[in-house]
Amino acid sequence: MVDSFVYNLRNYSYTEILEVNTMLSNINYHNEFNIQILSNTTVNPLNEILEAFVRSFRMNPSVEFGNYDNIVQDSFSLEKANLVIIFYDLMNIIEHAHINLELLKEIEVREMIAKIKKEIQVIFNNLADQPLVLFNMFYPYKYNELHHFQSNLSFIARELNAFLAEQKTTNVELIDIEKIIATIGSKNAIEYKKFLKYKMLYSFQFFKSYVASIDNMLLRCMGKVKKVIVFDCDNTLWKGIVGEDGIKGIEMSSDSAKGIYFHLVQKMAVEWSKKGILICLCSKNNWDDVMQVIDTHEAMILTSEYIISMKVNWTNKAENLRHLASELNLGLDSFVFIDDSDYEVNLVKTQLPEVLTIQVPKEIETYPIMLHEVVTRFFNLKPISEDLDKLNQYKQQKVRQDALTDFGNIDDYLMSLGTTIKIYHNETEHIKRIAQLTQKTNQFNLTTRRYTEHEIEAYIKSDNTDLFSLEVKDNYGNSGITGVAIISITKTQAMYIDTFLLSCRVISRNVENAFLYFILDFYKSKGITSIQAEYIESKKNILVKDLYGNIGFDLDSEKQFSKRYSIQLENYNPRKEKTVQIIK
Amino acid sequence: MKIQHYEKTLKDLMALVFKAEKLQIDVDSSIDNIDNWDSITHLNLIIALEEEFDVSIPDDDVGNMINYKIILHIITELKEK
Repeated sequence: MVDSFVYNLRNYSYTEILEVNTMLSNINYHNEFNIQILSNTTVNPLNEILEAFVRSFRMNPSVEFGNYDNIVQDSFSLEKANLVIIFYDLMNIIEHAHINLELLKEIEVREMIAKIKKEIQVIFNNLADQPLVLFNMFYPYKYNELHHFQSNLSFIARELNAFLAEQKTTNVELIDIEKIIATIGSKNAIEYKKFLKYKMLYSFQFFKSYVASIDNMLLRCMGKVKKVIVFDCDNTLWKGIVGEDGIKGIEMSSDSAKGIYFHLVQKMAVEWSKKGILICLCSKNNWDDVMQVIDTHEAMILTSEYIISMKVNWTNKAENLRHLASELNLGLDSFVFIDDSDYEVNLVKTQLPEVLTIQVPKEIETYPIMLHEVVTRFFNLKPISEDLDKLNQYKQQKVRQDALTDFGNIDDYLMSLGTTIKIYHNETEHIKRIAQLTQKTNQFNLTTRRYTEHEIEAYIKSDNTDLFSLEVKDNYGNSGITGVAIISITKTQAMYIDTFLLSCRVISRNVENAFLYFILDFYKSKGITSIQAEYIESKKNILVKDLYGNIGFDLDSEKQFSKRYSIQLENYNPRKEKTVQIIK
Repeated sequence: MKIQHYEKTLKDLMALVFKAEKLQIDVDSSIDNIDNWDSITHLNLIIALEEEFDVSIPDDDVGNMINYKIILHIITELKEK
C-alpha cells in the first residue's frame, strides 16, 4: 500500500487521494517532514497530495504555504524546512501577463528580466541554507496555442531559464514543468478560467503529475530512497527456466526476439550497479544451475562482479529477503523485489509490505521501460565519477556575493521596487471596490468587518466617519486600490480605526506602515489627541496580530479574541517609511 | 434514485474536503457552520465535485455554492441537463 500509492499516484483521483490522506492522518509517526511552498499563484491543491505522499512513507507532514505572491519577501524569513518548493509563474508577474507583456517595449522587457534575475539571486541566496529547493523553470504559457512567433513571453522565459541554469546552487533543483505539461497536454494542465478567477493556473491533474515527477527528490530528502534491487532469475533476468530448458534453452541476447528485453534489463542493471545500487539475486533453483549461467553464458552481462549477494535455494523468498536485509544491514523498506511469478509476488507483498514488489509485466516489451521508471523514481543514482563538484561550490559562492552587493537586506530589496502610494479621502468613485475589499480580505484585515456598498456610501457621506482608500504602484506596475481604512469618531471624541486592511497583493512591502503613519499625521494636524484601534482575531488574520504594537500603539486591554490599543498624538512624532513614497 | 446517489456522494465529498466526520454533513451544512470551509477548501471542493460528478461548474455557480442544498441543486441540474 505504502509504496504502491506513490508508484501509482498518477492514477489516483482527487477524492481517492483525499481518502488515503484522511485514512493515514489517524496515525502518528515519529518523524516530521516539513515542506514550505512559495508561490505567486494559487497552488494549494498540492497540500493534500504532498501530505498523503509523506504519510505513505510513515512520516508526519507539515505543508505550509507562504503569503500569496510574496516569494521574495517570504524568502528573507523562511524557517528551515526539509524541502522548499517555488512556483514563480510568468503568468502572474503583471496583471494579464500574456497580453500586457506583449505591449512592453524592448527596454521594458529587459528591465523586467533584470528585475526577476535580481529576485532569483536574492531567493537563492536567502535559501542557501535550506537542504533542498525545487524551483520551476519558466514556461511561456499562452492560451493553449502553438505560437511560433517571437513573443516577449517566450523571450523572457528563455532568458530566465538560461539564467537559472547558470545561477543555481547545489541545493537547488530546477524542475522542467514544460515536460510535465507536455506529458498530460496543456489543455489538461492549465485552467485559464480558474486562473482569471482564483489565480489558480494549474489543474489538479497537473499537481498530481508534478508531485509524481518530483517523487525522487522527495524520497531523497525524506531519506526513503531504495538501495537494493533483488532479481529473481528465470523469466526475470532471462527468458526461460534454466532447470527445465537447460542453459542452451534460455534466451537473453540482443539478437533474440524474446531475449532482447532481458538483455536490456541486464544492461541497465550493470549501469545501476556502477552507480551505487546494490543488485542481489533471489531464485528458487539449484545453485549450480544458476552459477553456470552467470559464469559461462555468453549473453550474460550481469556477471558476479555486479552482484552483491545471491540467495539461490528452495527457501521461502520472504525469508531470503529478510536474510539479505540483515546481511546488508539495511531496512526492508529500502528493497525492491522483482519476480515474474504471481505466487512469489503475492507472498512477498503480503509478508513484507515494506518491500516495493514489482511483477515482470506480461507484455514483456514494457519490462525495461517499467524498470527504468522504478529506478529513476525510487533510487538515488550517483554519478560514476565521484569528483567533488568544485564548479558548483564556486558558483554558489558567486551568487551569494552578487546578491549581497545588490541587496544586503530586505529594505534594499524593497527600495529597489520603488513602491509609491496614493491615499484618497472619502472618494466616492471607490465605493464598489472598497466594499469588495472589506468582503474579500481575510489575512491582512485587523477587524474583518464586512460592509456592503450601501454602508460604505453612508460612511463616506457621514461627518463622523473618514474613509481612506489606498492605491499602490511600483516600478513594475499598478496594483490599483488595494487598501482601506475606516475611521470613526467615538463618544469621547477620540478617533477609532474601525477597519484597516490591505489586499494580499501588496503585503510585506511596508505599505501598511506608510498608510498608518499618514493617518496618524492626518489626525494630529487636525488637533485630534488620541486614536484608538483594535485587533479582532479571526481564523485567517494571525499575520497582523502585532501590527499596532509594532507601530507604537499602547495595548490598553486584551480579551480572548480581541486587543484594544491607543496612541496619544501629542507625544507622537511623525514618522516616515523609507521604502515607500507617498504621492500627493 | 439518482438524486439519492448524488446526496450520498456529495456528503462523502464534503466530509473529505472539509476534514469533517461523515455524520456532521447534513442538509443544513453550510459555509457558516463548517469550520474548514474557506476560500482554499472551497476551490478543493470544486475540484472534487467536477472530478467526481464529471461536470464543469460554471463560474457563476462556483461563487453560489455556499451550502449543501445549493450544491446539490446545482449538481443535479448539471447532471440532468
